[in-house]
Amino acid sequence: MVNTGQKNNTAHKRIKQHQNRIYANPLPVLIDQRPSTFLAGLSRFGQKSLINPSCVGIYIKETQSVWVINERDIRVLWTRGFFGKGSLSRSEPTWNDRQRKLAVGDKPQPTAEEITSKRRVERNKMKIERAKVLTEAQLAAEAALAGIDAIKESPPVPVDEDNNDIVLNDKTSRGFEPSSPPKWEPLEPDEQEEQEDLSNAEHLQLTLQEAFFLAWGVGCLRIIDPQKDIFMSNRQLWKEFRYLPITLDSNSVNIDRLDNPFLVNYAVYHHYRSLGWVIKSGIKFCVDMVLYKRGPVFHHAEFAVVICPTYEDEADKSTSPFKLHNTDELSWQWLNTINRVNSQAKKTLILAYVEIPSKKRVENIDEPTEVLKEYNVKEVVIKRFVAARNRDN
Amino acid sequence: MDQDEYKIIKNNSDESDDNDSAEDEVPDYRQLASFTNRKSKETYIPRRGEKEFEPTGLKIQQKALDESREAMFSAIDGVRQSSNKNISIGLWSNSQSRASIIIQRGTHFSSIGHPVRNTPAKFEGNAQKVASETRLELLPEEALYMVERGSLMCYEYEWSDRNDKMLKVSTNDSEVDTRFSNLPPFSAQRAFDCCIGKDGLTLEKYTIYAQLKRLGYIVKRAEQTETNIVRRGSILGNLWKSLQGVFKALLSPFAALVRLFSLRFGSLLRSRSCLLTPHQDYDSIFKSLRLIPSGYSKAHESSAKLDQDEQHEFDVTWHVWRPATKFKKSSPPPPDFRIVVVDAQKSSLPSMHQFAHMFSQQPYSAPPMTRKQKLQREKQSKEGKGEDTPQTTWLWRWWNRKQLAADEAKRNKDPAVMFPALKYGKRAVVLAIVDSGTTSWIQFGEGQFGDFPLY
Repeated sequence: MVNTGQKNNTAHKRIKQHQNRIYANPLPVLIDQRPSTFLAGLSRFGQKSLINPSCVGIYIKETQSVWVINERDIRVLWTRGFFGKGSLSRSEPTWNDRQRKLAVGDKPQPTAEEITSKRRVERNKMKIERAKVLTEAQLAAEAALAGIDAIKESPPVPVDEDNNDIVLNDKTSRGFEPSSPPKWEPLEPDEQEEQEDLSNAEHLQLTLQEAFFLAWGVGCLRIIDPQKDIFMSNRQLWKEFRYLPITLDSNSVNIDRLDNPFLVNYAVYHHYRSLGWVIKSGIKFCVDMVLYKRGPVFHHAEFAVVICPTYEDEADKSTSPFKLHNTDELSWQWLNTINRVNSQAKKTLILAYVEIPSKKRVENIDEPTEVLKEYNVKEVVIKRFVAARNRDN
Repeated sequence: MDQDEYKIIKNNSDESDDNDSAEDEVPDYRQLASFTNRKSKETYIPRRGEKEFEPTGLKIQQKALDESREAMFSAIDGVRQSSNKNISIGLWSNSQSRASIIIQRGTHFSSIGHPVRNTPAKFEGNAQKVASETRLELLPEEALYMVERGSLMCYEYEWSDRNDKMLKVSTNDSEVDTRFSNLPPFSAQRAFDCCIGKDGLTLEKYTIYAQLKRLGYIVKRAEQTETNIVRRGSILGNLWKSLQGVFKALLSPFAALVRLFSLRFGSLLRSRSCLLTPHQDYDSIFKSLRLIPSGYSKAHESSAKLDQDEQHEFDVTWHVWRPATKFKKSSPPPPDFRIVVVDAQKSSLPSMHQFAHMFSQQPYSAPPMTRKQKLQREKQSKEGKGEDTPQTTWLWRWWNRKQLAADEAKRNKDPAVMFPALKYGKRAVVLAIVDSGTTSWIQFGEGQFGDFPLY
């Protein structure tokens, strides 16, 4: 027992070390650790320079996302800050690994999807074992009871097909049969050509918020406009991303409105990113985003954030073409629904009230910094209060 | 049961063992056909996994069930009674909305009721002169709670003059019995009728009051204790604070100028991404990225946007102390919890401005200690090692302000400090939402993510 425990411990440590090495950097830019030359030291007062990975993405208007195709860029953006999502994976782009494994049969590192399915099989087994023990205990108690009640009666245990009790027993024990682990149907090993095609099938998709943060905020992503086949400037991106939600009704007069959904979402995204949080979509938890401390491979998301836009100038709300969510009065039912889901997933719910500035305050909407510094985020932390559990200090 | 059905049931129960499974695997709906096309007309509900309280058909289960049912019935059967030695006597006045205590018994009064002093001057020329004495008066919720739990025997009597001789405090049961022999007793039902609606007490507020009292908490009206709560900090401290305010006001034009300059300058750099400025580490990169203001520093602007009704909609109703608190009525310690009672049918969530206003009315409070911290504290106090904070002067602090700020920033990044602070908030208010008698309690904390950056 002790031995296996130690073994597990060291294995666990090794994995942790491995992870710490791979995911050492919270942003795609690296800090130059080389000792600076005398001249450089003189000119920069000992400041270290940054290494820019200069990733490239393609703006795909139809899907409202930015695609990163280059495998090295995908790796850089995922491992340094967990940006984006694999188009054929749950989160980390692992499709390629999974396919290769199926074709070749080698197993270097299990992917997240495999770990989950393995865990499920194990959990099932555990539950079956537990249920078995429980039934056995029940049957033993029943036997003891029968012994006390009437010794005359024939003992109902062990199994007798005709006895009603036992049929019911049998029903409960039905779930105890160990389930067969899910079968992986290996793909037929195809010709070499096809495999090479496969290796490029997955891309990393960035949300517009992520793309703009990387392009403008960090400055490590250049985005191609596929129509014109040229790189887009930050100013172009800032404008283009604001067009997106309203392109359909071709009425682009509203492009300069400050309650533009891209702006509102970006303000909150940027707020938490700039504080160091890793942000992923929260749609599975009834919220807008979930916050991870270092990233999804290290911890579960600690916080679930709902964006609640508020207008500084109420008049802007009545003229808004966007119909933003959660701007009107929120009901207790709404809050309890979201909070229950998240407290069961051990996440703390945050209402992020983002104040949309009045138009008067922003002179130049083309300047992201000028615009963003006028927004304001006020958080309200939600927690269920259980009076019976707070009695002792 | 045939073999096929057996399999189906087994599959179903296996799948449902894990909530997530359904997410990934598309269910085979053909399985449903076997339930509908059965030759025998017997209806059959598809099983989804083991149920915890499912009848097993075992006698032992039936026995346990019978025993619990029996225990319930016998508990309800019992006659509710209370010893004479624990019952206090009081007089309820509808016009005053107060119950005056005549005979005081039990330990409730350490936190219930407030003292009222009689002025004997008014009794001149009266043979039965009432001496100067202190009576206890109960607020409607206190009287109702005491009557409901059988600790107070009340009579209805319209006293308007607080020096009415009927109110004379006594310890003699037989004397009191004869004194009140003509008065109608005050039933629990009548007590609800009289107390709810008096002096701002709604049924919702009473529901929460009684719930907390039954759990052993000390509960007081917020407006009643607000003025009495012992304020932390000395007069000197307050003086220093106001001096600081004066300094700040004097310096503010300069500060604004500096801020303006740094913003203009900063924005120039920032507009072309953080890469242009040299950085030592990730901390400074993230710092340069932070440009969206957050937090509640401008709460007064929010308050200004609300009208009177909106400002007071979420005023604190009850101040609550933990059961073990050493409570002194005349100078209560700061409450452990502040509870706002709202009616679910008539309200919705506070608006952002209401939250800001609500928080601005509360003092700062530290997150509750974790078990580990509590143990550490106990250990320290046992070893007699109190927290040895060095005595510092403001000059010393000012001189070392940079070091102190750096220390604090470092401390704030410790997960043991950061996560409780983020999850509890800077200040917290508990809302008790009452929906026709059903209660839901939610704690709202003032978020402070901006003060606790990860980098």
